[in-house]
Amino acid sequence: MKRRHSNEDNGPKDEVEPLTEDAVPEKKTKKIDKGTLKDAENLFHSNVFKLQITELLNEVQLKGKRISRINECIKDLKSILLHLTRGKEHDLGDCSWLSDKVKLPLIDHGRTIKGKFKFLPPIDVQEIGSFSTGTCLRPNPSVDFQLTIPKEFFQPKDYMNHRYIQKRALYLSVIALKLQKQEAVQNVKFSYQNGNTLKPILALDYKGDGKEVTFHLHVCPQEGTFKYSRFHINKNNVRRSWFNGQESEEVSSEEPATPHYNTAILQDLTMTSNNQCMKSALQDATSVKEGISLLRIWLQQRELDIGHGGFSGFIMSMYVIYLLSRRKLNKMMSNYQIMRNTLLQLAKENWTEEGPDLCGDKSDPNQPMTDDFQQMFNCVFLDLTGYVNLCSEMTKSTFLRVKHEAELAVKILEDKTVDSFHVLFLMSVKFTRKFEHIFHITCVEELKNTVDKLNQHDRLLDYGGNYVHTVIPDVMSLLQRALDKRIDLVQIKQYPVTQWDIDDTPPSLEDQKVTVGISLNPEFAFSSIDKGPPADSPEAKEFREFWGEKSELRRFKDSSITETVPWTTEKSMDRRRIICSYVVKEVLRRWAKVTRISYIGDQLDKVLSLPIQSYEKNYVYGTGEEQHSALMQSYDNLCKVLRNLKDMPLTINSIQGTSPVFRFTEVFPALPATFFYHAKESSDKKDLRLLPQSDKPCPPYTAVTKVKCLLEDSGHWPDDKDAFRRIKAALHIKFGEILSDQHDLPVAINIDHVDVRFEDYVFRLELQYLREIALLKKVTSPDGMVKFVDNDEALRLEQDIKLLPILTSTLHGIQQKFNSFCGSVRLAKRWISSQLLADHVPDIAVELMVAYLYTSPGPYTVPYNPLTGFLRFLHLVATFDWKMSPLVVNLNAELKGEDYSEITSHFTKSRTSHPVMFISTPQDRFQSVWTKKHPTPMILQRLVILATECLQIIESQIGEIGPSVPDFKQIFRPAVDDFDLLIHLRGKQLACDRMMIDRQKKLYNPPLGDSLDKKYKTNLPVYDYDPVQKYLQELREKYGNLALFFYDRYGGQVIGVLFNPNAFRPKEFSVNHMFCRKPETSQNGHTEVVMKPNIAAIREDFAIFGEGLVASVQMLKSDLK
Amino acid sequence: MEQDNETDSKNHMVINGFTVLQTRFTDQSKTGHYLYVKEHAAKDQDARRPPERTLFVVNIPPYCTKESLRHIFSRFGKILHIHLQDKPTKDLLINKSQYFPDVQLKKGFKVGYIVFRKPASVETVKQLPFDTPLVISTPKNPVLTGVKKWCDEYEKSRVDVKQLQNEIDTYMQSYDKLVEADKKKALEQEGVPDEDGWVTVTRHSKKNKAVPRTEAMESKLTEIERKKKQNMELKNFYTFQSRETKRNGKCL
Repeated sequence: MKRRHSNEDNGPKDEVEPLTEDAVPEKKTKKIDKGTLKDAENLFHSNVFKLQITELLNEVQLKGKRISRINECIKDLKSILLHLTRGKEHDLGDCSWLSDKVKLPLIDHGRTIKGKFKFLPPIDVQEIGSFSTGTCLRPNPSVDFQLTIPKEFFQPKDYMNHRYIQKRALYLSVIALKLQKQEAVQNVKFSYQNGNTLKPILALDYKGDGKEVTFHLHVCPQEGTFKYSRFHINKNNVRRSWFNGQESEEVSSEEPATPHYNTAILQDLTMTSNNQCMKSALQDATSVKEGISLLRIWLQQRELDIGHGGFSGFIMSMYVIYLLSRRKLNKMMSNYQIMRNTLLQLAKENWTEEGPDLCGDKSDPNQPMTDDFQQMFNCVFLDLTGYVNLCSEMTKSTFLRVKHEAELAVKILEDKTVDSFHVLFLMSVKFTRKFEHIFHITCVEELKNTVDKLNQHDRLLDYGGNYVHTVIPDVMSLLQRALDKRIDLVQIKQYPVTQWDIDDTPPSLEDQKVTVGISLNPEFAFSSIDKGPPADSPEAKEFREFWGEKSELRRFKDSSITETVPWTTEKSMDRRRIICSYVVKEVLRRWAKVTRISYIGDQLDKVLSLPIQSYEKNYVYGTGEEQHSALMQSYDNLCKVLRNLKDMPLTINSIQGTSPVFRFTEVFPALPATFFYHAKESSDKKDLRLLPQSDKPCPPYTAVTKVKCLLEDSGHWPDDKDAFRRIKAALHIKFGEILSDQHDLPVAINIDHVDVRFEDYVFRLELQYLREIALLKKVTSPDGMVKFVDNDEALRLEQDIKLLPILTSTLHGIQQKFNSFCGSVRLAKRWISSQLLADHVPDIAVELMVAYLYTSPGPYTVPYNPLTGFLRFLHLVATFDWKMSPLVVNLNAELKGEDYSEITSHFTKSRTSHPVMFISTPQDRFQSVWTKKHPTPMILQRLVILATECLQIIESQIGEIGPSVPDFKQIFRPAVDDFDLLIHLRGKQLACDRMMIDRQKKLYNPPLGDSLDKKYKTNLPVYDYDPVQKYLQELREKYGNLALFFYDRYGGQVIGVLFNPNAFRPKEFSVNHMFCRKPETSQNGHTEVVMKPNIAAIREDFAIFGEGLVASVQMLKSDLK
Repeated sequence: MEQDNETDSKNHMVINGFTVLQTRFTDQSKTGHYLYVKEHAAKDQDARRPPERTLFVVNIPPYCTKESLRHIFSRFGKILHIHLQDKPTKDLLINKSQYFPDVQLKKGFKVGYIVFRKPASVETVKQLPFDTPLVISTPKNPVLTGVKKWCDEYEKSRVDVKQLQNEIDTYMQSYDKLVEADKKKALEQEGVPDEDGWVTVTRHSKKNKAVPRTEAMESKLTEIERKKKQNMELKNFYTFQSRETKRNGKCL
């Protein structure tokens, strides 16, 4: 095994030193092996990690053949560009001479621009950027071309008042026009350089011999056209009078500095030297290049390298070069070390306060001061010349996000329990899944008001009228200030730069999308007030000014009096989760005059809520968290009662609730059982239960809450299985009688449990004794030897009374730590049920999958909003490699790195004998007991498909910016077309009808806590009675071998039936093949009697068994024979 | 497969010796399941299923209970017993206790053994025409299904505590007696050798209590034996042995 690995390890090394390959004979390589293996351990995370990196790089790097093809295209296009003909002289302001086939790629601002334009062919064409350095990534590599415009093309004062910008755009238009005539050139489009609306670029596909190659054409003036110092960030190059459209061109003394305008031009001027610097630094440094490629993949997966103000691959490369120059990195390092050290450095730095500086030569007296840069820009990264800030467009929030991701990456690399390679490079971190709250500014035009409100007209001038880019940094810092401690991160979404056809006008500013993501800090995000400074402190005034009339003075329990902003008076968790939206709306309304935003965060809450009315005044259901707690409270009281029971034959050692509600994972927790509608009293006086009536609608569903009571050890238990069961039943009788005698509780005694109504909830108490497991496993062989053999019954009991209690308390612990767990799990369970798969995917498996998102949040941090948790759950289901890997849920962080490899090797060794969905926990490492029987491969496949589809739908709904509100319930409505047969149910007999996704208002909905029901205080309500479940149970018992039944247990109105095609083949006539079949003569040649399934009768049986419940049975597929 | 598919003038259908009968759930039903009946024939004699008087019925629909079978077939002669089973078996599976079932019967389609008083009844059933279906649920003897059945079940699911306690008490009394007898027997046999001279020790023995004979205990014992044997073995005794260990680099 090792031998093979190390051989592959040789791969990259050979590339570095191709000479040795031929020179080293076979024997020598064997000796080297041990060395490379050791190297791999030292230079890389682990051996496997190195292999993975090599594999990944192979995948993204261009192959030699393709490179030579591209080089040919480059040569061709270069010669075309260099041999373009000169044009006539035109007036700069007038673009009418351009043909209809091309439109100027600048947003029309209506100002006059003086000057002359005469097209001259470029004097030089160079490839720059990632392709030239060999760090570009497949599958869509693009070649960046730099076209150098001759000096004569420009006039002396072209840097003023957008003349340069206009000329540049015109130059590109002419080139576009000329290139379009070429046959090999296709798809000629305009785009913007890094999203900067002042700087268009030309994108085109060049089709040579093979596949077409994408080119991006940038233009820059010849060296020495303008002086750098002309564009000092403190200087003004756009006059106010011109910008405001005034005729006079006098220069007032107080013209504002135009750093962004200046930088935009400077970037063109310094393009050559910066690219030269990059090329020379990366020459012969393969591992550095590979490191950069890795970092670019990392950025790409996080959607950070695109759009306006993004952390582009260019910035990353320059940063690596900076680190090389600072000797933080060196060329001898492996690609892994380059990547890791760069991330490590990035995590430490803060470019918003002190940015890196590539410029070694500070002798130029005209160079701007570093402090000036920090003042003018959000983030600073100075280039080689010392004049240009490479991050001029980057907002503070974007940099902080990159820094946050770098910190996370370093943590992940250190954590041995995470598959760090997968998490860092293969998983895509989508904006919608990363941030808990997201909002869109639906009407971007409103940002114009922001410019006025914040008085940023000078900035607007600097940005050439792009009001969106002007105010975004301000809006972000406003949000940061307002949300303050409530959040960990706030970031504007990096949308990819638009492209448009050359005969179109560029997209208008109103079409820009502004989306902001918010990552919550759970400690403060849900507090209903914002506590400000003390009333008498100097900051108080500032605070009051910021919040205006929202701020009020409040006195707190610790006798402090402070300025305070109260956001809501509601206490329920679902309202508190969304407080950040109030803050955002208020601050945007007040300071940015933006009123129209669509805020995404609580859209799925309604799926978890119930339409409940209550006679109790302060009753709030919300999304059910409170109901969970209320039930737990009653349970605690019950525990006290149970512990203090007198005269129990055996004392109760421990009490453990095992219902989902104790893990905070019950989709709809049991409600106080005050529903006595449609029920009657029993004629039997001893029966305290109320009974359902067949001629009345079904009473609302009352769930039982299961509680296990473990009894103390005793030698009196019999050794015989049957005797044991009877003694246990006798104990239950005694237990029930004691409960009813000592505490006057209504009880219903059963053989293996006692149901009791306690504080309006029905609890099912089970007495258990651990030795029963051993007793069930005991087998006595004929020669008298006693063996312990695993069997279904024993395993089920073991799960029930040993594993489930442990799991319940662990998951409860997760909920205590992260309060969104409850919501996430319940959304996931509800979704699975709404897709009719609830009975085919075990609940515990779903709970564990969601728990996985909390124990191993992977490339994210733990989600603090149920919606985000749910999205990540869908993504997990859709993308996890169920076939090849076990899902290890590291509960309580009990598993260490070695345990992981042990589990994985155990799993892969005997993959086929394990269930398709393998979930490992610290208590159950090698068995996956919860998924033993379900889901089956077919169900898992369907689940994966559904998850993929639904994730796509809901993510596009979240991304939708429009006046209409998308219907978020869409993914909770099942598709029923695929079934063979549908059984429609009558609404009146649905016990869970109030949980329906699309509930009609007219359906009967009794309120809670009816005072009329006082007379039933000593009764048990109708509990654990759901006609549909009874029906399904009967169907599965009777037709389980013929068909599968699908149902949404939360108020579904239809049962989907899928026939098992194997069971429906005609069989020969024999006693074993008679069940549910009828004889028919088949006509193949000679008559022969075969047994065919009696479908008509089965269909009628479905109606017979569901008498009173079934409305109709509908056959969807008629070709079943 | 043999061709013995007869459809004679009286319109009764026999395939492979099975008479095919149609059923309807109610007289309004348009379709229903088919019953396949035959006289019971087994090699082993079974007093509860005498071959000549027992009708073997296959494919009894799940809603069809013993009572409804009795109603349908009693017009062909007096019925002594009806046994319902999941599949044809050699021995009948019958539950002895009401609350503690030792046999779990499935609830799907069943086979039945109907024991008539007279053999003639079996013959009558076998001659029944194919085209007159048997009706299972009649207004006189309705079969409860659906909501009515579940409500009924809910009502009847209450355990009669007194009855249950009685059943437990009687069972436990006999169990205790059994255990007591076991103990007594063991005590009596203590120290008394059997034919071959072996003395049985049990956990009730007074002098030398027996260790329970479990698999774990057995493997523990063999392990001890193995170790003993190992210790008896001489290591590094002969010259060639010590040379070998040295060569293997295991010598201390």
